[in-house]
Amino acid sequence: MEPFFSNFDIAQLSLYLFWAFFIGLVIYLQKENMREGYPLENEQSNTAHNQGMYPLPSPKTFKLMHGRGEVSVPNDKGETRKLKLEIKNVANGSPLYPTGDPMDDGLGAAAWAERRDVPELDGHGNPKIRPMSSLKGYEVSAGKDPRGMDVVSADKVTVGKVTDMWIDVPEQLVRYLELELKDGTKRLLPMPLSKINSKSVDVHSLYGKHFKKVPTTKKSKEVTMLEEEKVSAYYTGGKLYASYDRLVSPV
Amino acid sequence: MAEYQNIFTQVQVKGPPEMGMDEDGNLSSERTKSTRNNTWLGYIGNAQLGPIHLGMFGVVSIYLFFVWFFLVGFGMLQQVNFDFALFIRTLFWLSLNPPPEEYGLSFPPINDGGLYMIASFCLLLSVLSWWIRSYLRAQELGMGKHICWAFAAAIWLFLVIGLFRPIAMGSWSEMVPYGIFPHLIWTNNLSIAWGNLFYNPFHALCIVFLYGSALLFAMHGATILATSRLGGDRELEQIYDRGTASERAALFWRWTMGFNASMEGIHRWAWWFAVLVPITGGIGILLTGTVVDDWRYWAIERGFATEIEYSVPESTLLGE
Repeated sequence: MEPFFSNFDIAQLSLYLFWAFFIGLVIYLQKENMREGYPLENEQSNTAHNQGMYPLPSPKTFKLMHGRGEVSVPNDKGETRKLKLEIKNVANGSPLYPTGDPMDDGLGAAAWAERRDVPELDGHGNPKIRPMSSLKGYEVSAGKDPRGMDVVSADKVTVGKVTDMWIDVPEQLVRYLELELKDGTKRLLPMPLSKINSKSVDVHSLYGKHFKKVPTTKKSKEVTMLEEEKVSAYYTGGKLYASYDRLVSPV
Repeated sequence: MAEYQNIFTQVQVKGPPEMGMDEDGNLSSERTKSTRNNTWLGYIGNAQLGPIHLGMFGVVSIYLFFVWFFLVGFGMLQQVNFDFALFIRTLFWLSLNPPPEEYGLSFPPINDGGLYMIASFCLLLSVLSWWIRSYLRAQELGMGKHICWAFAAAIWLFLVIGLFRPIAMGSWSEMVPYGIFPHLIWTNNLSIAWGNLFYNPFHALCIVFLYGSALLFAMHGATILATSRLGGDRELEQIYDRGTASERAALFWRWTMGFNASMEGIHRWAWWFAVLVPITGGIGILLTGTVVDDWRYWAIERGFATEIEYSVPESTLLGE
């Protein structure tokens, strides 16, 4: 096949057309990924000077099921929480310091986002995550059943016993273990942060003293997405804040 | 104490079978009625098997696939004179072969490529039938068609190699033999015959997207598992109600490589990277032998290869 002029043939034309398409695609993809977290802000929560070279995409709207309204992204719905952080150094990018206990205040490794205070629903409009004790026809089909086992913290304190498992009904998997503390109150424990042994459940993320401060749910048989955020974030924060030596570099 | 990495399910629960979304009760008529629980699958994912939808296109596709499968087996058996023990021993080296060059694009005798053409036709209809199935399933479930368009990209490559390029080259002999080693030898021969496919820019792009897809999938899978303690694996809700899981996932990558995706957007990156593998690959194959007959020479003409390639410094070649 003859080239069009000098060496420019169909193969080369195809390649140049592809480059043009690909550049457009990358711009489109990067803009699509800017529906969350933009416009950029600085540490003082003001709009940052340097917004990068990509403009924001025009908002798109999700029409939610079960009468939950609509959400458009990007939006300018900022955080309403007053964060207990102080600025020690005005140079951009400097870390902020918690003024109190970051685990209690939901900061840093223990940070949570302001999600909706309603339970996540399944396709039929029912809450997705429910205690196994409130469900009919559920059983443990494999693995070790942790109900009745002691819950042991990272500093080897037995803080309570597992009383129930909270199941994601449509996906048929355990999302939380429910434990009863020594004072009789109940807490939720995210499944990925629990290690089920033959006789006990280990929780590496928290020390014994932290368990009574794990956030609780308003209802005894239902958990909202905001409550899930706060509970999961509290345990996750313990990975870095449970004891001082977790913050110190091992080197 | 060691932390659990959430790779396997620690405790599996089983309830009444999850029969899926069927608000009107119409969809269940074409689906199987029962389900099974497999706890080995349950350790790495969902334990339930079924219900499966048996529709016309699915049944037709599976039937045609098995016709193709047994025709290929028959062709292989012909090569070993129907000696079954020899068949098993040499299985990976056997094949049902395309017709030789001399028949061009006409239908060859059965014993000289005709059986291959019939088998290929069955495979073509089987694949297209499965594609229709993938479209209809998505439609019935009220889903977007992203899966079937991705499948269409793969079918593009399949059609380029098996139909469009042989027609453009004027001979069914360009098609790929059905056999394990024989199809790999075909690949090697294609590259040798047409001047080393490494110099084909679309082949190179295809590799970039393939490596990129593997990388992206490892990154994404790991990121989701790492945030599963915060519910990151519940991606749909995280998309329209952003939680700390998505925020941490994004920040991890922003702080690591300077930019990040969002919970929805990462799937767009992954979809495009994956889909561009067969799209660019198909373009590259379509140009091979038709437009370009020596890719290395094509590269030399355009200045990204030289006549003589050195793999060691010139001075050592002469033993100095």
